[in-house]
Amino acid sequence: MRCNKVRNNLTAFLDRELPENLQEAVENHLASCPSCQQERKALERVQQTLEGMEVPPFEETVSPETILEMARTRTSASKEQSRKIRHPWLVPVPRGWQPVLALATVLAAIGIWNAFPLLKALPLPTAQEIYLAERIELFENLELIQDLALLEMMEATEGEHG
Amino acid sequence: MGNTEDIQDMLAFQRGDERGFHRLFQRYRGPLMNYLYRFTGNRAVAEELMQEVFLRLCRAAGTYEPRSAFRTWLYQIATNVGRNEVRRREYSVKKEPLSPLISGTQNGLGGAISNPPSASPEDMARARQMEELTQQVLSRMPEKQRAALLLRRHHGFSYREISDVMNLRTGAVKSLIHRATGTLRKYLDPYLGILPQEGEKDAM
Repeated sequence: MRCNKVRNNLTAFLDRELPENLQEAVENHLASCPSCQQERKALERVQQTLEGMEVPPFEETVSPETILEMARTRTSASKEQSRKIRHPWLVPVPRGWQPVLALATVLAAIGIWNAFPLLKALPLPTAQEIYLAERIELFENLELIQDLALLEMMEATEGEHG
Repeated sequence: MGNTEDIQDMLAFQRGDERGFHRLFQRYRGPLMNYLYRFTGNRAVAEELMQEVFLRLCRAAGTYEPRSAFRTWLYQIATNVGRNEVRRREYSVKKEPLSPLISGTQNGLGGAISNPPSASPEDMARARQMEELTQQVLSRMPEKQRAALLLRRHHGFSYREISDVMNLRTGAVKSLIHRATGTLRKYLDPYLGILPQEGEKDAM
């Protein structure tokens, strides 16, 4: 077996990864070839240096629970992302338009509630009237009212006091 | 056998038992940190990447099927994560010359050392320097060579297993490890030749 072929296979030989007949052939060559022996020693030194590298201590900086939590958060975030992709018409409303949209929404909701006269007959405790009064003030400032139950009560109040 | 344990823990996790994940985390956090640290040369980056590997493990838990050895699959994820990161950050360290480490040498990148240091308590410091130099060479090596070398030398994977991890033929793995070893040898040889104990070994 020629020296250059042996040298090409030396690393794999040292790793015992050559097919058996090749492993043997290299072994036999090395027994009688001083220059390839030198080459072998040089590679062994490199391997030892690499294998002797210290494993630095890596303190645990994150717990497995944290990783699980991150995985859960990321899942819901990515679901949010995919929802946005599936429903592109759910566009974010620019700031200036929010009060207008709020008003339109409230008026539409009141319009809808007007079609259900039965709901106007619901009794209304005093505490809720106060609550409503505060909310109506908010409404006058054109804040978006999201709670439809609140709207229902507003409508009921108007019916009583109107 | 370690692989049986790993797969059992993974399947338990799949069924909803988080302790399976905890066990896998405790078992592999350290080795993965070591792999990713040697791969990227940067502790903080290795930390991020290690977390990413476990996040991907979580994400894959639902559809996990034990086809290959668990370790092979896990290190496949780690290798992909590492290689993506290295490519993303474009570690173009080839431009900087390697710093000569041992005082008294002009150029550590080849050629004989003119002033070999005497055998002394400096051995510890030299070992640290060798390790530093080795890491520098690793960081400059092409990532495929680096991955294959680390998987073999530090994590005990066979060429066959490495070919599964990296999705290559075993012949390609053999070639990568051979070239990686040659690169290391080229930069380390001048230093390795002067370590005191080497003189004794030559008497074989």
